Amino acid sequence: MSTVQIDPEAPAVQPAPRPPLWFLRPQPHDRRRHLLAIAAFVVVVALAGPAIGGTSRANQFLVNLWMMYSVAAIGFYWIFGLAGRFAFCQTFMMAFGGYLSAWVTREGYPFIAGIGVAMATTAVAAGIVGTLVRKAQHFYFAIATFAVTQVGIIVFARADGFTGPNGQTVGIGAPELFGYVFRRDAEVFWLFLGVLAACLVVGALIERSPMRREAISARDNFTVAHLAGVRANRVHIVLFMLGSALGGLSGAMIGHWQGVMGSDSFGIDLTIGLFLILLLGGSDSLWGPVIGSAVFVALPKLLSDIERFGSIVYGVLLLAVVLALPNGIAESVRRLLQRVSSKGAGDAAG
Amino acid sequence: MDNVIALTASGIASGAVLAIAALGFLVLHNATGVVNFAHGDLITLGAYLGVWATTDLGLPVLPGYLLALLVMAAVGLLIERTAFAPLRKKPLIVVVIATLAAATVIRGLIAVWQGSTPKTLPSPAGDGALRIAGATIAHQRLLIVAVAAVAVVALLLLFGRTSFGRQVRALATDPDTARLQGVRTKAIGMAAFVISSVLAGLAGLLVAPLGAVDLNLGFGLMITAFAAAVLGGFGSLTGVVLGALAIGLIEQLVGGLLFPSYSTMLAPIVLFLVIVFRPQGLVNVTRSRL
Amino acid sequence: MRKRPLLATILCLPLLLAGACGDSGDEGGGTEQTIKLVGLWEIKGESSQAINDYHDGALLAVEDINAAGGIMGRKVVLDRVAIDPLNPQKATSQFLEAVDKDPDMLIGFPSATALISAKGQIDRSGIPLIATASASTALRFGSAGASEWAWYVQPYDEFKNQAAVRYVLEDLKATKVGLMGTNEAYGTTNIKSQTALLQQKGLTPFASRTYDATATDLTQHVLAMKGADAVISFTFPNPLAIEMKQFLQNGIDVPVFSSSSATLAVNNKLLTGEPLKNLHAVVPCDPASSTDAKVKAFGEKYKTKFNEVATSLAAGSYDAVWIAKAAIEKAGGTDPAAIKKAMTEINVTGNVICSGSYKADAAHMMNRDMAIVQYAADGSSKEIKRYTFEELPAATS
Repeated sequence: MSTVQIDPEAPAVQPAPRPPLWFLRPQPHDRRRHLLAIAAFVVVVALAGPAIGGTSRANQFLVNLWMMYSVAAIGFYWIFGLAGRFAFCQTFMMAFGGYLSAWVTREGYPFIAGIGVAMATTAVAAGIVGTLVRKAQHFYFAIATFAVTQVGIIVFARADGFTGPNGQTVGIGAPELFGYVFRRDAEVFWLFLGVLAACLVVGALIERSPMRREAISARDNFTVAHLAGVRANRVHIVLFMLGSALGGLSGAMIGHWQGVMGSDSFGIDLTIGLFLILLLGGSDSLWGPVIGSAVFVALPKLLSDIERFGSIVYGVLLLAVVLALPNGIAESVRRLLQRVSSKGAGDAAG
Repeated sequence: MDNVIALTASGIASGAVLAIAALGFLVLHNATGVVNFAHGDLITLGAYLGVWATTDLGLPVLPGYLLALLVMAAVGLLIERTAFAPLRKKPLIVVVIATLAAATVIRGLIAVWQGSTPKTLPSPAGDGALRIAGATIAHQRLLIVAVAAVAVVALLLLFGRTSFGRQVRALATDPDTARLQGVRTKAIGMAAFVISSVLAGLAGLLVAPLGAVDLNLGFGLMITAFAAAVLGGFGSLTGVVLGALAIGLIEQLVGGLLFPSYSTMLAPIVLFLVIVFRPQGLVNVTRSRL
Repeated sequence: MRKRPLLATILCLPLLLAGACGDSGDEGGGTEQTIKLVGLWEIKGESSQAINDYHDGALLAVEDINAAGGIMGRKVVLDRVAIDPLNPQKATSQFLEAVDKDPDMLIGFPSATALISAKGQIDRSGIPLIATASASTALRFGSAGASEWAWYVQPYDEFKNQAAVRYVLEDLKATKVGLMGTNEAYGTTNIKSQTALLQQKGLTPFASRTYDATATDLTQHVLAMKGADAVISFTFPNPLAIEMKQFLQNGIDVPVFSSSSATLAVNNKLLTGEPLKNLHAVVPCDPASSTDAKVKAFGEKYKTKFNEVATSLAAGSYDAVWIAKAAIEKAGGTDPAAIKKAMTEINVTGNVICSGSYKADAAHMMNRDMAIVQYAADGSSKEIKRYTFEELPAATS
């Protein structure tokens, strides 16, 4: 954007002339940069999404799935990327959220209430688990949340009054907002785009908040952060709750979209998948989970033609990507653009 | 009473397999800092190599097993050379993804090589069983416990009494200082990969004759072994062995006798409680490293 | 100008997805000259569970049909899309890939869980599907998980439980019936239903035990069955093999009744010799032991072509193709609505293997046969009992 709004309270110092592509530079306090990027992202997806989805039904499905995996991955980014905690239970939260929302709407409450209950309950569940194991770090936290997931999945299979026969809830109502029912995949697309945009905006607010800095400082050196007055545990638990709520949101949305909820869709494959999404996309940026999800959703489809050799090629590609872009795709793209822009700035100056 | 004996034997035997799997995992982690997500698929590979040597090549069981372990050693070296050595200077997270990638590749190669039909692996112990005070204990389980005991003692000696062991311990405690003191990280890394993948192969060969060999054989074992390592303090060899035995006994004995309907939930619940009350595992690593 | 690199960054996302979208065209199938069927199943090597039975059975049927002049003079083409049985999200997107191939009819979908998950997409596809999944309660037409476009060649799941319970109570005169299964949905649901069936006869289960599907030690579960007259264990092939070995090792001599897992465990040689002698399979048919000339011929042809023993699963997908033929002929073409109507009207008896006749009831179930098959230590099997169940009304939920 060429015109920059200056806050009325800002000191009357003439801002230094911005180099081209300034918004790609690391400027953690600049909210506008994030909001601008989100707005541009929404516009591009709004144009490209239906175009891609229009090519085939499978593609429309994948675009929708990409957006909801992105939401869950943004939550995982807060938990793992910012707070540095490997929560094995993000997919469990997705399943839990899906079951909860299905149950609430089955009882006759509207869609929006189901989503609200799903997010609130998963957040509270994460709060309880997070508080109980607040002292556990690294592997210990991973294994504790893994244990929660294992117990949870067995309980889901047994509690068929809540989840339904075979652990599957069927006949979940389609998403409905203000009397409008999102039935076809192409309609659900718009709802999901809105949800993803909202999550990105919340993400952008967190990016510039003190919480991010505190979480990262506590992640990188707990003792120093603690001595510096950061309430490290509290920050990490709050991020765990927020991230899990996004897991619940994503699971609930998927359930209402597909009309079916089963914990099979949210097994260990997806847990490792979310991990890969973040590592591939980049765990230092809000865009990492979004980019990583796109790769995660698109790659198996690209490889489906080579059938039995798919998983071998998948592994080799993974290795190649991580070797070429060790900091994740988002970070590598950012650096590349930064180099281009500083070169551009140099050229302009020269 | 006979049930108690049978279930105790079961618990110890499943703990013993877990211990071997977890030790392989830990040796590598202590020497190189790598959490190897491919360990489970290496366990699977070990079992398939056993099937290949005994069924496809027609070797007798023991030479077949030895051949399988030799190939596993070579595989360990190969993984070190292709997937780890080039990444030595890269951030740890890159190495972790590389192990995930290696896991996918290994699994894909096994699927193409051996197909996805489950197979059976013959055992030197056969299908027979021993009777003690009315309880039945399969010969295979006795073999597992014996082999595991030998492997654990050998590892304890290796790490406690040899220069190699001291170097690994130095690396585990403080990698930078160890390097400055002249610890040969490269050689140690290669040796650790070899030992780790032989242990993975051993775990696969021991557990496979109990049931069937399929592509998922090692993955579940790896996750439980990981839990055992965490329970034991993630670092100490004795701690891991204790953690593995604890998980085996909780699942089989406590679960079988007291909570038959909840035996599969028991281990995760205990694990969770341990982490709540002892967030650094049952064995304190700083006092009893390796 | 400044905006461009930002846009480039963001554009790379949709493009990535777009890259995935390159190939959705089909290779000339669905033309007027051919009838295009798409099989929804994996073949060996595509996942750890993959078997060839479904594809091989269908392949044989297509060959037989084409050799006899095709369907209404049109050649049948069989295409295939792998459906991941363990990951419903993936299965649904794979199903949509099959839809993108523009088939005249779909056959397959071996996993009931994945089939239920894809219900919405099956409805919207409007393509008739003959499913090979074992037909669980949620798939019964009229229930919320069942699509109006899906019919089932495998008998209703509940028949399997009923056949097993009836046999052990009536023929074995068992009063102490032990129940075993995996701790996930498949096991727990069956145990629940078997418990209810026992309770209707005034019995409670002697013991019921669930275990993890990847367990390698079932000592405690096997010991709990000590003293039972019969054990019903609908589980997976691998744990079934462990179970049978441990029954033998622990000297527990009790007849065990399992599902098609028993056939798979025997065919894959997971179980040989002694542990086999108490094993029974509750399956719609057993081509390997049939004395019927038509079924025997099928078994031999299958064995010659694929070097494997034909299972009830292979027979099921073989029959599914013949049902598709009958439906298209009855409909007089490939109009989906006409085929859908025809599916409710046809009674297929001629070339089918796994049941004497396939006729859809109001619940969309086409096969009402269940057989009890007994194994011997040499790996041979024989059918010892056959049940034919009543037509099922549609679900009313």
